[in-house]
Amino acid sequence: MSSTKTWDWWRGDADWSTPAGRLLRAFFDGLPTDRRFHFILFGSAPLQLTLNRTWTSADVDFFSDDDEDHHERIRRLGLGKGQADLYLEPGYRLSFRTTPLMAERAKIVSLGQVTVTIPHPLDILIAKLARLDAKDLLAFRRVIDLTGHPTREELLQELRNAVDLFRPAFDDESPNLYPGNSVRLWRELWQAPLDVGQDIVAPALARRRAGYGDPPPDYRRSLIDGLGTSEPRS
Amino acid sequence: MGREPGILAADFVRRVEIISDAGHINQTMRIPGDDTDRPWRKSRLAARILFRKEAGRMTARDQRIGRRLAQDPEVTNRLIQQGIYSIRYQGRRIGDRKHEFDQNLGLVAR
Repeated sequence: MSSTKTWDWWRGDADWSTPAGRLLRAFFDGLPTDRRFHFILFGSAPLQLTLNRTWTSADVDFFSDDDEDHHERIRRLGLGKGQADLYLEPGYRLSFRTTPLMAERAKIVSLGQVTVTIPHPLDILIAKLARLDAKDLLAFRRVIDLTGHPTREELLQELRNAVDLFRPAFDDESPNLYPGNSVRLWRELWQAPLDVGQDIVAPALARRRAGYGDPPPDYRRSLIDGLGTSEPRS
Repeated sequence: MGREPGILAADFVRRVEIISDAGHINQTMRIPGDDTDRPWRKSRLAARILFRKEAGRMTARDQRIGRRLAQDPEVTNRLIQQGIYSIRYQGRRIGDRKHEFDQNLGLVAR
């Protein structure tokens, strides 16, 4: 049966012989065997694991589903920053800011007592919009070269579904770069303008409102008005 | 009076029991002390009063309870609207008559 999902272009088969795969397996082999672990990958490692083994990256970003801090364990295994050419960079759930569809379309793999969630490239790329350095822009280009996706329309739809990424930053944060970076991405990839308010935020909010149904009339006022306003139904 | 602001006393409880006895709320599912569905129950009662108002059968007692429900922060227009869609009044659901219902209450333009 065919799918109506627009992200079915990625199978998520991981090549564990890639540099990122080998590093992760070395880490998994060093974990205690008396309990289970669940890690979620982010950054560029999922792209190397599932799209192209030559994808270069200095680190492998991940976090644990229980937000356990693995820095010390990684250091003891010699797999951390400054200890290996390709190193593990443990983060936390909040380190990976992406779309609400991430869990739905990620690939989940079991390796012994370890479960690994490998997010879809769409979710990896959209997380890169927070910064959109030259390297991140190249990642967009390369995924599109390799897969033909996301198309401009697909990415537009994804960003509408992730509209909350475009909210203003908190006071003590850096400014939210998603809006400006999205405009820049459109210009770089498709030589096209993007109006974040009109093309992303307005349609997303309209759909969100439609999902809640029409706003109700003021029934509370009608209750207070008592017998005053209505007429008997014929 | 109840523990929370805006809780109705005997009248409200009796009304809720009537609704419950009619089979619209499964009382066997209720957990003593669990008041999470209280806003929903009160809003359904408000919806039922509005049905009587629209039918021209609102009593002084309905008015009194209705005013209290309207001032109850747990009773929202959204929940009342859900109640209007979900309950049966005189054996019928509102269905396509909802707009006419709102018109009859003077809440939308004719």
